[in-house]
Amino acid sequence: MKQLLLLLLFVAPTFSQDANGILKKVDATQADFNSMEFKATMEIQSGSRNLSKDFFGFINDPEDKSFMEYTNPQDKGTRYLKLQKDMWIYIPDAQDVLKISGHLLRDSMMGSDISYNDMLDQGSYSSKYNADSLISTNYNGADHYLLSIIAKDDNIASYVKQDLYVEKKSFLISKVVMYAKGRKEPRAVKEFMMEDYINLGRLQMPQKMIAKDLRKKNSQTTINYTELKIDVPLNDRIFTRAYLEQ
Amino acid sequence: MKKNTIFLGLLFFLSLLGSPMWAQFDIGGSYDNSSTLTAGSDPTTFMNCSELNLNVGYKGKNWRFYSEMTVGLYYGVGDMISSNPNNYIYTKDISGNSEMGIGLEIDRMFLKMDSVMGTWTIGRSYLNFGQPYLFNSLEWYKNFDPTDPTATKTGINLISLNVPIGAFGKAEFLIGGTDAWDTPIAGTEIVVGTNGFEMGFSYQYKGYNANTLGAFFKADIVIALFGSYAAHLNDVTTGEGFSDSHEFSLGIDYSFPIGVTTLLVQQIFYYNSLGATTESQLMTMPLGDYYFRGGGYSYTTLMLTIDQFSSLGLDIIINMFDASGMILPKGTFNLLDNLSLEVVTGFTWGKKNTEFSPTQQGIPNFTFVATLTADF
Repeated sequence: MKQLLLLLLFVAPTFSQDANGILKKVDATQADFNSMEFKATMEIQSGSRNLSKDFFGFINDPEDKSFMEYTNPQDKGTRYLKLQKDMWIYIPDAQDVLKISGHLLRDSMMGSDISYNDMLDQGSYSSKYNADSLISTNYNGADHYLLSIIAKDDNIASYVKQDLYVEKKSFLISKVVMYAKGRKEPRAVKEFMMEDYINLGRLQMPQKMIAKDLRKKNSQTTINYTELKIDVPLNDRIFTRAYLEQ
Repeated sequence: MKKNTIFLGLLFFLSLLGSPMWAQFDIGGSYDNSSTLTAGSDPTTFMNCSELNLNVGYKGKNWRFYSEMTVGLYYGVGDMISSNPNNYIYTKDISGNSEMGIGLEIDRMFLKMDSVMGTWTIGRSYLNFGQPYLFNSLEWYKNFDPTDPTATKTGINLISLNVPIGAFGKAEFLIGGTDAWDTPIAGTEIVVGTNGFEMGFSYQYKGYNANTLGAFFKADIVIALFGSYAAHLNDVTTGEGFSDSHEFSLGIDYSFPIGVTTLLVQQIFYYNSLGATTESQLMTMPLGDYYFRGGGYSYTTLMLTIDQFSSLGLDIIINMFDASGMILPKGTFNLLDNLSLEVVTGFTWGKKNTEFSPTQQGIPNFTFVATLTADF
C-alpha cells in the first residue's frame, strides 16, 4: 500500500508536468500571439436556415483587450470594446455607447452558438488555465492528446474547464470542449472544431472554426477568417472609448 | 461650359470609383415600413410610415465624414396626431399630413477630426448624455422616442471636443444650437470607470437660464445596477415664475438561463418632481422634453432570445401615482439576411382620468405596430 502511495505521489506530478508542457507547446504553436488583426464571416445555422454576419477585429492578448466591428448591412457599425472583464457596445443608430452588463458576456452573440467572451477572449491558454490531466486518444483518425485544463480563477477564465484535443504530430488543437459549473461536476456546454490551419510565421492559426452550443439542437456557427495577421503593431488608441465612438 | 462642368464632375466621380480611395467610402442604409393601428374609445386610426434612410461615410487617416438622410412617405399621421395633439411630439414636420405626405430630412451630417487634444465633431450629430436607457434623467434631445413612429431622429447642430481619459474615460465639451440657432446650448460630460464600475457627471446649459446638473453610474455586482440623477435649475416656467426640478432613476438587470436560451430582465424606477401626481395636473401638464407626464414610473422589460431568428419581449410601464399602465408584448424576427420584422402590440389600463386610462382622449385600448426593415 505504501509503495502504491509512493508511486502515485511520484507519477502524479510527472503527468501534470507533461500536461503543462504540452499546454505550453500548444500555446507556442498556435495561441501565444501578442496581437491579432482579423476579418471574418460568421454563418449561424439552425436546421436548414442560416444567417450570415461579417466583422473585423483586433486583439491585444497580453493586456486582454479586444475590439470588434460588424460590417454586414443589418449590424453595420455595431462595435464592441473589451478591456479585461469590462465590455462596451457602440450602437450606431443611437450614436451612443452602453456598458454591457457583466452577466451578458456569457450570453449568445447575435443568437449564435458563440458568446461575447468566446469571440473576444482568445489567446494564450496557460495564462488562464492549469493542465489537469492528459491521456492519449484517437480523433478523426489521428493520434491526439486529450488534455484537460482547469481555470486558475473562475472570475477571469470564461469556462471552469476545457478539454483540448491536441494532434500529437503538430500540437495543433482539433477540437475543444468547454465546461460550465454544474451542480456537482462541470458540464459540457460547447464544443469548437478547428480546421484549415494556415502558417503565420511562428504560429499556425485555424481559418475555420465550427462552434456548437451543446444545449441547442441542430444549431452550429461557423467562423471563417478571411484575413488573419498576428503580432502586428496595434495602435493603443484602438482599445479606447474614443475609437469606439469614432 | 456647363457641359464641361458636368463632365469634370463625372470624371471626378469615376476617378473616385477607380481609385483606392473608393475602399474608404461606405454607402448604405435601410428601408423601414411601419404600420400602426389603434382602436379604443376614439375612432380607429391607421397610420403608415415608409422611410428610406441613406447614409454615406468616408474614413480618412485622421478624419471621418458621415451623413444620413431620410426620405419618408407618411399616411394618416395627421389623424393620429389630431386624436391627441398633446401626446405626440414627432421629430419630422409631418403633423399637417392628414392624408399623405412626404418628408425629407438630413438627420446627421458631421465631420470628426482627431487632434492632439482629442476628437473634434463639427456638424449635425446626436447628443448623448447619461446612459441609453428608457428613463435617463440626463437625456436631452432624444434620438429615440417610443411614441414616435418616424424611425429616425434629427440631430443637433454642434461643435464638440471629446478628450480621452485613460482607455475608457472621456471628457466631452460641446456648444450648439437648434436648426434655427435660436436656442444656444452648451454641455459637458465626464465619464470614468474601471473593474465593473462606470460613472459620469454632466452639466447642460439649455439656454434661457435653464441648466441641468447630474450624474449617473453603472456597477456590475453579479447583477447590473445603474442609475441617474439630474437637478434642473431654474428650468421650467410654471406660470408663477421659474421652478427647479429633479429627476432620478434606478435600475437593475440580470439574465436567467432558461433551457437553451436566456431571459433578460430589466427593472427601472423613475421619479420626476415636475411630473403630475394628480389627475388634474395630468390634464394641464406640458409634455416638454419627457416621454410621459407623470411623476413616477415603473418600467419592466423581459427579453427572451429564442435563437438567431426570433426573440420575444414584454414591456410594462406603470404610472406609480395613479396605477394606470401599458403592457406591450413584442416579437422580433429575422426573416432573411438583412430583412427583419418587429411586431408590437399594446394594451392600456387605468381608472377614468388616469394617465393610461383607455377613456382618455388619444389613449387607445389596443395598438398594433408592425415594422419591416430591410438593410442594404
